[in-house]
Amino acid sequence: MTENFIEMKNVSFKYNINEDHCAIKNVNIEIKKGEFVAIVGHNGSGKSTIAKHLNAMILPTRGRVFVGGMDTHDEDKTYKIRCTVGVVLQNPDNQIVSIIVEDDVAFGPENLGIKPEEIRKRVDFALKSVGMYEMRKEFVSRLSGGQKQRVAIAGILAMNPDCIIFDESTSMLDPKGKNEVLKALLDLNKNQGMTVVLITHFMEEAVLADKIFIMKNGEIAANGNKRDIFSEFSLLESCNLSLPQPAKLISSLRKEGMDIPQNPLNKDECVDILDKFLSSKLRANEL
Amino acid sequence: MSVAIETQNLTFHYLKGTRLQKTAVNNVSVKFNKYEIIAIIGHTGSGKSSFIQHLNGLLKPSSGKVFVNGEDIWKNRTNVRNVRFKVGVVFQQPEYQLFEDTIYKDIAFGPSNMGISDEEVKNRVEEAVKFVGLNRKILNESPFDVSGGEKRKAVIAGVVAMDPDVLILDELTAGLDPFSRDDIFSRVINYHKIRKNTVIFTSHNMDEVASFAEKVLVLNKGEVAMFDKTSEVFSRAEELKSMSLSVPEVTVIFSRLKKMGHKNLPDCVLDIEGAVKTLCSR
Ligand SMILES: Nc1ncnc2c1ncn2[C@@H]1O[C@H](COP(=O)(O)OP(=O)(O)OP(=O)(O)O)[C@@H](O)[C@H]1O
Ligand SMILES: Nc1ncnc2c1ncn2[C@@H]1O[C@H](COP(=O)(O)OP(=O)(O)OP(=O)(O)O)[C@@H](O)[C@H]1O
Ligand SMILES: [Mg+2]
Ligand SMILES: [Mg+2]
Repeated sequence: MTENFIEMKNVSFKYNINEDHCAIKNVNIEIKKGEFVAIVGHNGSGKSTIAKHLNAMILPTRGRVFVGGMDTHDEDKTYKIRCTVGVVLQNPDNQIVSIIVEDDVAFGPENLGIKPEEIRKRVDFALKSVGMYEMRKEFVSRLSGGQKQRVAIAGILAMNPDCIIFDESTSMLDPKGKNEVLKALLDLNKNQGMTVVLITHFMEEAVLADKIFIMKNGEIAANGNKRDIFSEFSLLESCNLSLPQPAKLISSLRKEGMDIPQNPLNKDECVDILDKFLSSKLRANEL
Repeated sequence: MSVAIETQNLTFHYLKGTRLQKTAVNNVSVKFNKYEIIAIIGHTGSGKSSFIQHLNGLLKPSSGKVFVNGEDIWKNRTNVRNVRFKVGVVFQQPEYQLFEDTIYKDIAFGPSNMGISDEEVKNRVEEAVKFVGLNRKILNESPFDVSGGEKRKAVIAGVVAMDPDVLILDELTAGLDPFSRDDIFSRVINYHKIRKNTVIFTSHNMDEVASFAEKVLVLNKGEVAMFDKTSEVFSRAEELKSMSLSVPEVTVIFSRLKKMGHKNLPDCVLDIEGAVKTLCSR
């Protein structure tokens, strides 16, 4: 058994200490090195609050958070923790600090004290991964929403952290851009062992993860592997979530009385199921 | 059918006349009819947001014209001012539209500048809050102290409270959870039916474009690539792909099945509702 790389132990957090309301309550999360984890949940359920705990942007009101064995309460470790866990924030404007695209991407690695040649390499790699290499000399202020989001992602990629957290970081990308970014993430995870935490409202994206956490009103309502989670239609619904489109399609057909027992996770599985279903129906009609 | 908004050869350059000049909108001529629901799609940086900002006079065309209810909005100063109340825009990044110290005041900001009574403003805010399904508990919070999705709903409420004839929503559902996404759309469409307004939205989510739009305008590098009925646009999958776009998952699934030999399936299935109808009727 491998050790936990990231651990949240009974974490509760209040943004305002004088109020009763907890943004998250008794949250326990364990993530192993190299895992791909998704966190889903309704608006205001506490997802971003969790993300901010994982690189010590905020500290738990109660409970403890460990990153690579380091306690986030330990101020001497804050810097090391931020080098270990990179968070791409929900709003790119909160992340972008420089005027020119490539300077912004270089900002992180520069602060890590990395050699200029190495920085150049990383910046180019990161910009290419998100399809912004051609626009590297642009002014950030002149970018569209999706272009800014790509720059914010590149900035974190260039720091080459052990763990990367995506807080709804594909929400403004076009379909091709979204695919490219997700592919880059999968590649980093599978081939370089990067630990990935994907916070998303899109179940089609959550399906990429090994393990899924569902948040509801600040608490973890369920966690498990994707096949188990996506067979729990009523659980998802009660958490304001939905099934991925292929699963939703099959479940709608079942509601209409069609006899299709399987639950597809993706398009390929769905095409397969429907192909068999339609063929057998055709044969039945011919008899 | 009467026309709500028309653009004629609309062209816009950022930083015009400088070395950094950039053409964001190029010679766009379109007509949006009253009571239509139109989606605008296009790759990142294709000019959707820039185009939209022309429709309520926030950007002034470098050349070309914009007509709202048949009037040239740049003909004189009062036209431009009035057009802001007729054409309400919810921007892509809600942060830029929230600046008061409470959410309540932010929602009230638009209507309180329209010369209506305080009582009426209050009513409109109440209605708008109900309309977007915002938790009343956060009305007295600062807009900086709520989640991303809550900010989004607050901005939508602020625009709806002005009761505009044309409602424009830039990336309406970015950042909303699946329930709120469906919920806000069904609210927009109900409102559209009662109020008989025109709705224009941009989105990168092809599933929701297919389910809710009657017509789709496709922008590519600032130019009009297609402007047609939704089913027509999504039957051109290869072209869309070459413009960094895609078709809904359900559409992909059915076109693959058709290629596999299930010949009598229709050419373009747009959404789950359509798929269920298709399969049940066989
Ligand atoms: N800076 C803040 N100050 C006070 N309360 C906050 C702050 N940020 C978030 N909250 C509150 O904490 C709770 C959890 O918010 P969080 O941002 O973690 O939700 P989320 O799951 O990321 O939501 P979304 O999907 O909308 O981004 C919400 O009730 C929210 O109103
Ligand atoms: N303030 C600005 N100054 C200069 N150029 C700009 C400015 N805003 C946008 N642009 C450029 O104009 C083009 C169109 O941008 P716009 O924001 O309209 O695109 P969009 O289709 O809304 O993209 P997205 O899907 O990412 O929101 C882009 O190439 C962008 O770089
Ligand atoms: Mg969030
Ligand atoms: Mg835009």
